[in-house]
Amino acid sequence: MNRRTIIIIFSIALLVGIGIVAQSRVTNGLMLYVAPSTVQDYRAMAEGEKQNLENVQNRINDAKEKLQDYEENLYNQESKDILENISDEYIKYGIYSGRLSVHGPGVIITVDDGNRELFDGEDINNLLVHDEDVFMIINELKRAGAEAISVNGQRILSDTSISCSGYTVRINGVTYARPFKIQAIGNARKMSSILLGPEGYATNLKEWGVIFKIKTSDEIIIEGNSDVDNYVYKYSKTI
Amino acid sequence: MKKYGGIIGVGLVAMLVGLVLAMQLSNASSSEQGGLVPILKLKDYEVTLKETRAEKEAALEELERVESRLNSIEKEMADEDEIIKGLVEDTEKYKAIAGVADMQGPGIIVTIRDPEITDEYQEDISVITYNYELLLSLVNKLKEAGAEAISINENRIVQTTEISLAGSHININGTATAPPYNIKALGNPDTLHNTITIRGGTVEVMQKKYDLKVTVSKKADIKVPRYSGIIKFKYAEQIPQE
Repeated sequence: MNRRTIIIIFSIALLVGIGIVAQSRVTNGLMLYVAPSTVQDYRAMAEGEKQNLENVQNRINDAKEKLQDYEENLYNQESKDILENISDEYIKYGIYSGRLSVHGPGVIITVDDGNRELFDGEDINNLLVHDEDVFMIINELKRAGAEAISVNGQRILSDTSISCSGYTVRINGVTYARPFKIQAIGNARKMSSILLGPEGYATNLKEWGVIFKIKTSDEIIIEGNSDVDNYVYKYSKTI
Repeated sequence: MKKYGGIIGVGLVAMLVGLVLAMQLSNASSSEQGGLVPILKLKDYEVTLKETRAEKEAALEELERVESRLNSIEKEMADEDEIIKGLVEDTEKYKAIAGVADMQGPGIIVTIRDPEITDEYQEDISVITYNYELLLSLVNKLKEAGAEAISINENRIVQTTEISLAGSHININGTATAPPYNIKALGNPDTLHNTITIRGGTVEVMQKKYDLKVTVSKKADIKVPRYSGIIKFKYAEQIPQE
């Protein structure tokens, strides 16, 4: 080996060495690579926060508009607009809390235990409607943008649980037996296509043999729940 | 032979450099689909996340200022007029029950983490994400135990809350979320804790069947944020009362 070769090899080795050091510097000495799912999680979180930010900004705009309205009218001694605004708010939150009765287009769903013959040794549970089925259907309806939902006439509130106890299901503390009639106000086409699609929850239920019927209606009435008025917070309070 | 010694040496080194370069390139281009991703990419998201969060905090403060002005005007009006007073009071109550008010009180915090990957050939998917019905069932059980307010990763559970799989993450209230999941529930800490940790209950299923890391802790004072989305009714209309 002559001197020139040694110099060439030396300089290449130097370059590689510098490269490696530079790499580890860039990463602050932390591990060089992470699992793709971690990146995915971060992306989902960043997306979520962006959505939250947008929501807050929209609310600021709404509030500012209203404030301007109020201030203008306050000095005009014309409180008509303010009264209108206040009653709009009353209706909006009255509906959202489940207190006020609503009507509108939507779907009516009937779910009942299957009546087909059992296979040899088959578990009867395959054919029965469980609490999980009911709240999965409700979840799918919400995903499709349902604005108000009731099960057997019981309005679904923000704190409504659906629990199975043997042969009956308890909703808002009231006991019901099968069949279950679920009514939802919203985009009827969207709600039925989410449930009845190839991956839909209803398709799955039907395959088990559970009876599932859905029909759209232009006029559904969902009664409000007057218990809202007497609701008492035992443990928590508003800030 | 001695004549070629140098060339072979240089050739070997060149091959090594080539290898290193190729490895670098292939790693960088493997993106998020499979294999490992450079930490630099993660840093990008981390920075975005931090910035967005800071921006959100600032926006929330501004919102609070504007809303407190609004409230004081409404209160002023309410003091002058009995009808308005009734309406404002009822609206406040409805807001709280609908989940549009920040709440505070005793309760529990449930933390759900994905199982650690121990086997390098194990599939790299989030167990809790693909079994999101576990979250639904947990929330249902908490409500049954009398929870007065619930949030998942600061997303308040309200009348219209859906928990659904959207691609590779869970959407709650239309907002993308990622593990670990922190579920806060206000109510009697003992009742809440014992309802979900019953033998064969939701928490045990999560731990035993899905290998998830779940911790449940009772707290004397937690805050649950209000629903931050926009409430708009396109289909539902109030039935006028007489």
